[in-house]
Amino acid sequence: MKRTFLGEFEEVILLTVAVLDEDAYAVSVTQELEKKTGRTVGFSAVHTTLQRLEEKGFLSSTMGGATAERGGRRKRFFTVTAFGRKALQEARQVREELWNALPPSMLQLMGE
Amino acid sequence: MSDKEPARKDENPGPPAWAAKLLSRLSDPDSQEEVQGDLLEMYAYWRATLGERKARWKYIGNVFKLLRPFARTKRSEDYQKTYLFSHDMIRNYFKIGIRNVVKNKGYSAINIFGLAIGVSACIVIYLLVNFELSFENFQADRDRIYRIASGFQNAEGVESKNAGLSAPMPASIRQDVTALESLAACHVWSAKATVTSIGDKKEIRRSWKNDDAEILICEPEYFQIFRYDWLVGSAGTALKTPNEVVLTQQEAEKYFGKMPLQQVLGKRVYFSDSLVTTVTGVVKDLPANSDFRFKNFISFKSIEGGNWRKEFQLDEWTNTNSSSMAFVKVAKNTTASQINRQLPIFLKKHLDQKDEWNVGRSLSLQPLADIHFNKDIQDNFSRQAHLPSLYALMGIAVFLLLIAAINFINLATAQSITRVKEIGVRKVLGSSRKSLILQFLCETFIITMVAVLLSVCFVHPILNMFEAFVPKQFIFNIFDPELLGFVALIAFLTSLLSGLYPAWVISSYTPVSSLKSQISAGQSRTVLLRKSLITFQFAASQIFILGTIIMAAQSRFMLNKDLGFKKDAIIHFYTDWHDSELDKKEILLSKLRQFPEIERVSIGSTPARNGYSTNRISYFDGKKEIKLDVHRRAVDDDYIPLFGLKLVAGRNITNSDTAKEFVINETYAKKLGFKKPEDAVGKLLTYSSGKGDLKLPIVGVIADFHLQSLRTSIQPLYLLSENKYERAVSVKIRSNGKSAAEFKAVLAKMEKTYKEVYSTSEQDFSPSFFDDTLAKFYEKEARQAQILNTATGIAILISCMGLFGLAAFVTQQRTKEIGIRKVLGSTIYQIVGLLSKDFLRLVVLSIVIASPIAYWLMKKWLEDFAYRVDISIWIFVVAGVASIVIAILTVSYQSIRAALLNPAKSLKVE
Repeated sequence: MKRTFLGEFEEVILLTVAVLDEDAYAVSVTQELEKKTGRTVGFSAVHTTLQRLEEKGFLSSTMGGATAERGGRRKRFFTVTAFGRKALQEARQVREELWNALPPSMLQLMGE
Repeated sequence: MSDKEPARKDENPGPPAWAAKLLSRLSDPDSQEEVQGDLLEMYAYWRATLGERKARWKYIGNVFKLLRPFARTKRSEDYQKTYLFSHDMIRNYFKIGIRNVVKNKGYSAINIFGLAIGVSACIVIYLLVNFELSFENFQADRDRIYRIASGFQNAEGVESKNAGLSAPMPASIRQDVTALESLAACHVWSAKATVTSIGDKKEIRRSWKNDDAEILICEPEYFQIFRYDWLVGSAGTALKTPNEVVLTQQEAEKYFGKMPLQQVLGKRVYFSDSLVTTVTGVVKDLPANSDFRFKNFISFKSIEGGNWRKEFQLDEWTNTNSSSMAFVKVAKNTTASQINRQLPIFLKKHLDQKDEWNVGRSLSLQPLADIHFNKDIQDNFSRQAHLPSLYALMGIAVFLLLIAAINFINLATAQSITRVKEIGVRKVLGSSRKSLILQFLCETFIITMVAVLLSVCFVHPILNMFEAFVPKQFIFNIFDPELLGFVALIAFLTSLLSGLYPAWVISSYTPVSSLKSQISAGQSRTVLLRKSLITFQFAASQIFILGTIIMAAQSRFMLNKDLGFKKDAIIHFYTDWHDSELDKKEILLSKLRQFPEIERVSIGSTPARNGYSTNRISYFDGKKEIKLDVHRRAVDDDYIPLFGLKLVAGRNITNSDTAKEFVINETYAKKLGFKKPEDAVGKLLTYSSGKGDLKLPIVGVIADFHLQSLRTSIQPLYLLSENKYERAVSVKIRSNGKSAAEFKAVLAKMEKTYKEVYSTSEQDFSPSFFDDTLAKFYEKEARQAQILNTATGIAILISCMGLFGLAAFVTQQRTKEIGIRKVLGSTIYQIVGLLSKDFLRLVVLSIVIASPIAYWLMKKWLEDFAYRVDISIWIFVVAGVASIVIAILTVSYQSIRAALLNPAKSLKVE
């Protein structure tokens, strides 16, 4: 099977889209990320990543209705596809397997 | 951006407008909309959290990061787009186009006919110009072929050129000048050719006059310089010995009928009854686009001995005759200047510099291509073309085509109003602007194609109309690939020229306004353009009209001006040029004098003539010597009364066989410094004749008359009596009440007498009327005038057709308005005035524009003439009134018809 590979930023964004559920578009994702992580996130980076994720098939998008805000321009809303969910789960599984494989002494050192 | 955002149109400024604009231009087209919106939202967020300054910077930074200048939309498969050149659509364009052409028969006819006339004028002019410019271009080494031309300086230091050179020069040039691949001496000759054949045991002699420069006496090298196709014989062997002749195929057929060319070899041809030649070769005739129309090539060796040597002046270093020429082919990689540098040295070596005649003589190479055009170097075989006339012709062609294209543009843009709905529907159904433009270009193309096909049919009649200007050798072949290419190019260019703008205008209507019928004929930009085009059209026609009038005025002026002599009922002819016996001439003259119909007979060339001969005469006035090249007329004592010349001082000349005394004209007297003509009488002039210098007295002074055409001013002239050499005879006929038939009878009688006297002559009696001869001076002007007349006619016709169509259209658009006006009490005159006013204003404007341009052009043209008409203001008034009348007639047909229409009917029109 071809290994789907998610970069760290990609994974975070994919997760954020999943978190935001119905209301995920580039602006909300950026603001949510900044809020949750506290670090400044470049809007252009978010936008580009969203596009890339859609290209890879992890996300799908639909245009929203026109509103009087933002100069009447529509928003592009993103939702996570089944493939995207699978990729997230796989990433999580890998991580969990690695956590589980940690020797107890190490866990102790980390204060667990 | 901010203005587009109703929610934030308060005090909050938006992001930098330029960055927003940049983003809208250069971002990825697929995500443009949401990115713009998103960034606006982000900007508001940043502004709230970070402050305006930072927000702006962040906005700009993100814009730059999101620019995707090379991104193309990837969603092409989402909608099926119309392929611009799809087969179905093109078929549809043509179908709609043809339907439209058929639907608007009137406008289509105007367009097609106008374009056809313009295009055919273009084709004809292309043919003529192309023919003239292609002269000698079939010669393989044309870049290396030159003629050696002579140059002279007259007493006043004015340079003149001669196509020929002194007959002994070529042989010496061959020895002295390097870098010549080959050189051929030639003589153009006119002589009677005779062949004999045996029929019924009797010898049949048949003779042809060869007057039209058909005989060339040349060295064998001629055929190395000029390439001919040899049918029999070869360039390597022919013309090496005396008494050989090479004929062209046509000439061989003329002499010997249709016999195998092999049998023509060895046949005898007698030239001028005394030069016997044997045919040693037959060559193919050169194509029509050549000045080298020689058909008999006689070996040069034939004239190197005996009397011929003297007749062709083969040892005369001082005489230059334009029929004695030399052609050279320079060696490869040699320039003309390399040869030209050697020629002065050559002349210095061979010419006696102490002889006054040799001062200022020069030789130079004239390129082969120049022979057809250079009017400063005249010879007696080429039929020269006037290069400025050719350029003027090309200009006329372009103008005619432009005028026709303008018609098309005007009618098409005006008519587009009626097609607004169609455009709207097409656009709503998904037609792009490109495909609409393509559609209208297709329609133009259909019309142009019909016009071009029609114009090809017009070419022949037009060629006949231009007969005077079409060279005799010209052949019209429609299947010439070059011509077909040109026609295709014209068709393509005309389609684009006339179709592009209307297509652009028509396709620019927006669907909403066009479906709501908000577009009216009064779109200001189109109307302005239409008006300026009409003005341009009429200005061009106006220039043509003015040109025609002024040319006609000048022609009339030249033909009717008092030339200082009588010209009516004077017949002119030459006696046999081989015959130098005085007796015969005297016999002829005395016989003619006995005719009751003949008033006077005089010997001497006509007062005004085409060529000229001058002599250098000096006069010593006590202080200094005045040397002038003076025009010469050898005459007798009947000359002055016959031509009605006025003696202002002294007496008439007395008859003499050799020069004894002079009569001079007033101009010469003035140049010699005499205040009154009487002072000149009795003074001595030094005149160099064959027997050295002679001092001869002036016995009379005559009033000035025109020696040449009116292009040149009156020059100094002397008359002398030297009957021995003069062959020109003028006969004045008692003309009062004589009909043409009686003139003919007199001529027949004179011919009979001529034949009696010159019974063995090979030269026919060929009389010409003196006034015809004078008219011939102005053949070039007559031809120019004829072409301009035709062009004017065509220009006016096309412009008027356009105006007619436009008036028809405008009237039709205003049918209702006219109906209402009539109901409310407008008179017919008011309505006609209303409809014509707009057009008339344009015509008046065009007159104002055209008049100064025409004035300037015609002033330039008139500068060629020493005696010319004044361009009076009346010419402009007449031309202006003429075109206003033409315009009124054109427009009024439509407007009167509209004005007479019953309002009850016109108001019903929907």
